[in-house]
Parts: sequence; C-alpha cells; structure tokens
Amino acid sequence: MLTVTDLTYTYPGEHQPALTDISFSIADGTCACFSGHSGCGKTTLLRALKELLPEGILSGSIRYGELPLTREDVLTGFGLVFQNAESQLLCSTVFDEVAFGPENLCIPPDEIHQRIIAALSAVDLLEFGNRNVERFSAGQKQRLCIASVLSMQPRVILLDEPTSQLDGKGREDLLRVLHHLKKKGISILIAEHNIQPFTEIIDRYFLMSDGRITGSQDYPPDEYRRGQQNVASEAQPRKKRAATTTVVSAENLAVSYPGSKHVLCDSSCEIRDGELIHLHGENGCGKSTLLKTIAGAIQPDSGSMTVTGKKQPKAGELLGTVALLFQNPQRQLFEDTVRDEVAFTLKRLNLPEKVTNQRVECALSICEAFHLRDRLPLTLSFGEQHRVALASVIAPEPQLLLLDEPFAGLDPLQRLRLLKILAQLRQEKGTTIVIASHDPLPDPAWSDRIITMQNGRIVSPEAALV
Amino acid sequence: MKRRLMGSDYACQYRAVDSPIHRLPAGWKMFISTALSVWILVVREPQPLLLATASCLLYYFLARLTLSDLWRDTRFFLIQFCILLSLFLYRLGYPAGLWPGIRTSLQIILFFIPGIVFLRTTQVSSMMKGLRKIVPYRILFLLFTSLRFVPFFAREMQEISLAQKLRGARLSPRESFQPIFWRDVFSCIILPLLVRAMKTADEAALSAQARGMGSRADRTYYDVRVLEAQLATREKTRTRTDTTPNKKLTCQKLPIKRRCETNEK
Amino acid sequence: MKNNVQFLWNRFSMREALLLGFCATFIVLTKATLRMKLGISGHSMFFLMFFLLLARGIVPKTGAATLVGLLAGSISIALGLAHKGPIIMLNFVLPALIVDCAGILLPNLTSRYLTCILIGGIAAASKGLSGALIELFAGAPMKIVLVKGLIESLGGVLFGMLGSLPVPAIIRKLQTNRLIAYSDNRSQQRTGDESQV
Repeated sequence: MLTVTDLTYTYPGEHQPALTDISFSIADGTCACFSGHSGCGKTTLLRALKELLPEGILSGSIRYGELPLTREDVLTGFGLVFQNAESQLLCSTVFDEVAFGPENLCIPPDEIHQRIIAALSAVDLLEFGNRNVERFSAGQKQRLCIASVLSMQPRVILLDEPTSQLDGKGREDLLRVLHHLKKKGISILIAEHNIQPFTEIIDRYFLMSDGRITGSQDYPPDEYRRGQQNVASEAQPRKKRAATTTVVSAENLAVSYPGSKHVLCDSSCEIRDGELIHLHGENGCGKSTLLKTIAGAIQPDSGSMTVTGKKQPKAGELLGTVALLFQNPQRQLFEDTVRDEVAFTLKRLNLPEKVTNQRVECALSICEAFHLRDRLPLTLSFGEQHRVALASVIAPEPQLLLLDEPFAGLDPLQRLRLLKILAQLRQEKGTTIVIASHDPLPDPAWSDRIITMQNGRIVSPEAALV
Repeated sequence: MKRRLMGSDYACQYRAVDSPIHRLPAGWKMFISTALSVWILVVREPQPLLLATASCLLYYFLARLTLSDLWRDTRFFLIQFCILLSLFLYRLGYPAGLWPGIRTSLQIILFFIPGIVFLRTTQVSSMMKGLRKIVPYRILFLLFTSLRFVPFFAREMQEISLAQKLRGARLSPRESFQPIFWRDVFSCIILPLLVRAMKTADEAALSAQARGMGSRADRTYYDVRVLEAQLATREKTRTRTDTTPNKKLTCQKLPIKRRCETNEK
Repeated sequence: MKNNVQFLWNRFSMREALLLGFCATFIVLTKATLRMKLGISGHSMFFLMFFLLLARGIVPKTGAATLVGLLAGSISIALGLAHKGPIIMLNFVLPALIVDCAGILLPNLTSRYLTCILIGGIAAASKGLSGALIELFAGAPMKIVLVKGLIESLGGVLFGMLGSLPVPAIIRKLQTNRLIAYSDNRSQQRTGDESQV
C-alpha cells in the first residue's frame, strides 16, 4: 500500500506552497484519480512521488508498505508517464525506447529482452517491431511511453493527463491497457481533469484545489459535474441568424503531401456567413489539412475553393480576412508585451495607430486578457497564453476564424470559457467560426452545425444541431 | 536495378547496396580510409601518386558506387581545384606551376574520397555501435537524443513558420533575402523555436532522470538481433500453437458427433 | 530532490546538455533548409556562428560551444550532410573552440554586439584551417595556402559576422522573459522546473 502523509512542498523562490498537507493511501492494484482545475497541484504531486521536483521546501512522508521509500525504491517502484508523449520519447526506435530504462539500471541483456517483450505485449505494440517512433500516432506514442515505464517493472504507475492529445480510439486503447495493468496488480494514479473516459476503472477520486485535497470518494465528484453545468448555463443564449452569404465553398478538394497518399479526397462543403461550425473527426482524418487549405496555406491538388470571395487563395491574400489558430498557439508568442503581440498582424496590415490600438483593446477585452496587456507573453500561464494568442488572431477582425484543436491542454472550465469568448465574438463582430476537434464540444449546443470527417472525406456536411 | 545505379540524391549519402566494402566492419573501414588518405597526402612522385589514385578509385568503385556518385561527391572541390591551380600558375608561371598545381589539387580531392566511401557504406546504426566502444555513453546519449529530435524540430519549425506567415510575418524565400526582414526570421521563428527547445529540454531531462539515466556509473546494452530472433521464435511457437488445436478438434470431432447422434436417438 | 546534478564533464546538468544538443540540431536543420529549400549551399557560417554564440549565451559555461560543435558535426555525418566526409567535423569544432576560448577571456561575450561580430568573424575564418593544413601536408607552399585561405574564407567570415549580429538581442529577450538568468556575475541559469514556459 502506498501511503502519503502530510506532504507539503514549496517551489524554490516561491512563498505559497504548491502542495499542502497532502495525505492519502492507495492499495495495490487499485486506480486513483486526482482531479481538479489547472494549477491545483496534480502534476506537482505526481512529480513529488517520483522525486523529480527541484530542491524546494519539502515535508511529510511517502511510504510503500511499512518502510519509507529509498531512492532506489522511487526509481524502480514508480513509473511516471508525462503529459507530453512527444518529448518523453528519447530514442528513435521502439526497442531502444523500451530498453532505455532497464539499460540505465544495468539489468542483464537477457532480462532486458524479456522485459521489452512483456512491456510491448502489455500495450499491444509488439507487432510494431523495431519501427521508428516518428511515424506513430499520438495514441501509439502514449502507449509506447507506458511500455518504456513498464519495462522497469514498477509497482505504481503515475499518469499525468494521459488523454490530453488522444482521440476516442486512442482513449479506448489506453483504457484497455490500464485494465490489463490493474489486473496484474499494478497501482495506477491518474492526474486528469477529463475524468469521463476512466470512470469504469477508477476506484477512488481525490479532488484537489490550491494544492490541497478537498475531498475523496468512490464515485465521480458531483462538484465537478455541478461546476460544469453552472458554467454551461451561464453561456449567453445565441441568436440564430439567417445566413445569406457563403464564406467558404469547397468542391471535390483533394490534397496529398509529398510521398504519402491523399490526406483529403473529394471533400466538399459550404460554410455560411456567421455560422458556428464544429469540424469533428478522429486524429488523422484530415481536419487540420482542411483548415490549412481553407486558410490558403496549402494548395489543393484538385478541386475548387472560394474563400471570402477569393478563388483558390494563397496564404498572403487572406491576411486580415481569414485567421487560423493552430494547436498549441502559445508556440507563436515572441513579442515584448501582450499588447505588441496582439498588434503584430495589425502592424503588418499597415493600419493607422489609432485603429490598431482600438482593435488591440477590443480583442483583449473579448478574450478576457485586457489586464495582461503590459505583461510579457512568455511569462504567462498556459491558459493566459492561449487567450493572448487568440486575441492576436482576432484583432484584425477576420471574417472567418479557424481553430485547430483549441482545447488541447485546457481544463473543462477553460474550454467552456473559450466557447463563451468565441460565441461573444460571433455576436459582436459577426465572425464565422470553425472549430476542428476530435472530441465533442464541451457545450454541445454551441455549434450551429457539425461537419464530420472520416479518412480524408467529409461524410456529413449538413448535419444540424438544435 | 537501373534506378539504383543512377546514383544518390546528396553527396556522402548512404547507398543501400551490397558490396565487399559494405560488409566490412565500421572499424576496419575507418582504418582503411585513414590509411589511404594519409598515403595520398604523403606521395609526391607521379608513379606512386598514380598508384595511390588507382587504389583510391578501386576502393570507391569496389563499394558499388557509380560515376554519378563520384561526380556528386567531388564536384564541391572543383572550385578549390580551380583556385589552387590558378594560384600555382600565378606564382610559378606556366608550365612550371602546372604539375605541382594539378598534383596538389588532385591530392586534396583524393584525400577526401576514402572518408566519403566510409560514409557511403556505413549505416548510422553501425557507426553508433562502433562509437559506443570509444565514446562515453553520456555524449552518445546526447547525440542519439539530438538525432531523435531532428524531425520533431523540423516539424515545429514548419508549424511555427506557417503560423507566423498566416499572421503576416515576412518569411517567404524572397523576403528572407532582404536584411530589412531578418528581424521577422529571428523574432518570429528562432525565438519561439528556442522557447520550445527549452521546454522540450526540461521535459526530456525529466523523462531521462525518471528512467534512471545517470543513476549508475555503468550501463548494459540489449542486443537487437537477439531480441528479434527471440520474437521470431515466439511468433513461430505461437503459430504452431494456433494450428495444433485444429488437429485436436479434427480428431475429437467424430466422437462428439457420435455422442450427439446417440443423444438425438 | 536533487535533479540538477552535473551530468556531463562535471559541468553541465542534463537539461543544459540536452539544450546544447538541440542547438546542434538547429544548426543542422538550418543548414539542410538553406541547402534544400533555397538551393544555397555554403552559407552555413551564418547560422553556425549564430547558434554557437547563442549556445554560449544560454549556457554560459566553458565547453558549451565545443559540445554544440561536436554534436552538430556528428549529426551532419549521421544525416548524410557531410559533403567532405568525416573531416567535416573540424568545420564545426574549430569555430566552436574559438568561441569557447573567447568566452574564457570575455565572459560577457554574447551581451555586446562588437564582441559577437569580432568573435563571429574570427571563428568563421578558422573553418578554413583544416583545409589549409591538408594543403600544407599535400606540399602546397605556405604563401599559396594563405592566399587561397583568404579567398575562400572571405564569404564565410562575412556570413559569420552577420550571423553573430542578432545574438545579443535574442539573449536579452530570453533574459527579459526570465527564460535564462542575467549573466552579470552569475554563471548558473534557472533550472527547467523554475522556467515560466
């Protein structure tokens, strides 16, 4: 049994503790979930268990069984799977990655071979042999990360927001793996705010807030669900407009990348002015490619397309009229102040200074980031950076706003907040908005229409909601 | 076959063909390449130079490399050849400067050929395996990890560049040549890329530490060939196990059927 | 919870070493991009000097640039971008050694434009040293070797100096955003867990 007693931790240089009096115990072969909004301390707790935190002020105890944990116990007994699978994978091939841990521990080669086979079997990746990890999907990378940790034969596996990059199929595969691990007697600790996929394997829920455990129960927390409902009900009722003009008209679009098959095939759709569209489909179905094609970043191999009145537009031609917010938009931040960041495109459009300032303030207000205007963008939190990046693309008041997987890394409250901001944008500016996402929207009533994609094709462009 | 013999896309690119040179261990190739290069440099007389040249070219073509490959590998040296020869002729006059100029230029081109053969005939994995014997693991770890992240950062660079272009940054090839727009290259691409690199370094370091990197003075290595052999055996065993029950069922079918007939009766 | 122990050469933590490795990755990526996308080859001194000096600025420890040079040369060879064979390693290591030596003499090397341009030019010129040595061994007279070296290194020196220009501004930006420490009297940088990003 894993027992944590009064664990308190403060990061170096900080005054407020990141964890305060954390106490819990977890039996072997059980699954516990630590849930709470961004910044509540879930990741810090997992890293504390794995002794990966910087030297701050730490007190409390962590025991497995009767004895306190030694460094060796922590190294071999706990396996931590980080949120971002891409930067966790250090080797180019599957076998190298899974062998990495045991090699570091000087495990004899024969035993390493057995461990590799066992670990890859547990995550259904044995058939992939010694392939290059570069070509793996997000779900496969996630499972490979688990295998790379399993090969060290831990008693406890710690998962930090494992579903953040996964689509429905990826989550199903992950769930199957976790079921298997539980049966083998491995304890599982999950830090996650998207609890829903794991409810069938979680034995215990711990609610966290501001670095403390505020509640513990055997069923999904009510407060969590209630909080979601509260925010959803606060969303402004939207007036449906009678759309008169077409913003995007695409017919039989086909797009392929060099050296690969078609990513988009015979895709046709129409997006009308002022619509809120949810572009839905699994990872790899072509959503991002479609958005990039609409934005003019990719030229289709065949088919025709008209965007905001321009036929077959190129990227530069749509500046100011079409905006695309990429996944992880904080990657694009670089200016000295939030204000300069948001004004970037406006300056490139050579707008007068007065108009630029006005639009910057308007965009920051809509994105609930006005109070951040003089801050350094790169020092903001994840959620704040996300809103600043959004403000920077809406500042030119584009006619069409495209968002590619905008919910990645956001907790449910932040997701609902984003939808609220976008709905307000449509109301105030009449912007047509398309969200591409592999998940259902947090508020299903938000969109006017769902366009579903599958294997590079648009399968239901006309499905209507509400 | 014809396509293979047409040559490679880039100089010093590995050629996936079978040849006596390909089959040599990496260490031996390194030794032969070094010896040939040194020999090329030290000869001065025409006949020994001719012999050294012939040996070099034999080494090159024994690796089943083509004339097209040779052109691709040596064309970079043409400019050097011309500059060197011109300087010799300028300094020593014509025809006194001709032979020393040609000889020196030829020696310099030939000096690089054995090393090029090494790269053309040695896979990266063999190179790394050989390096393991002489280079400390921690440096190799950095090399492997940096190599692993090449495609990752290539994608990041592309994505960041695309996102910034769509925001209006001046990053087209034509604009990149104008110094007035270099600020966009450095601010919009390099800086976000560096930020991304810092974050990735944080996460990769944690991942390595979490899996015991640096926790021991030494380390062991698995053998991919042994592992693949074990997997192949396992697959064969599994296939045999899958087919055996069918035989059992076939044997058992008749008795069961008789029982059913008996029961029905 | 020590996770900033010295990982390499009793000097670099694992995070610093990986970051330097990624600088080497960027050198090779930009070299390949210039070659493939723009059809230009040979102007590699621009980004080589930029990233060598930047590496020295981000991890202001002796040996940082040399490590980047070693790794960049190795990655180039591994990816088949070494058009002169394994000896291309010297083209990366020699300029890197010069940057590190300059860093010992001028600890705040990367915070001033003049020092960056000067060291960028000198380091870029050193790239021709390996070629000059080979020519000397092949029997070319010293004068010819010197004149040839001058002609060939002119472009490299110019691009090296241009590539060094943006370094102080980038370093200052990283410091302002608290991604690296100010290098007044401190040689240590923030650990990864303390960074804001």
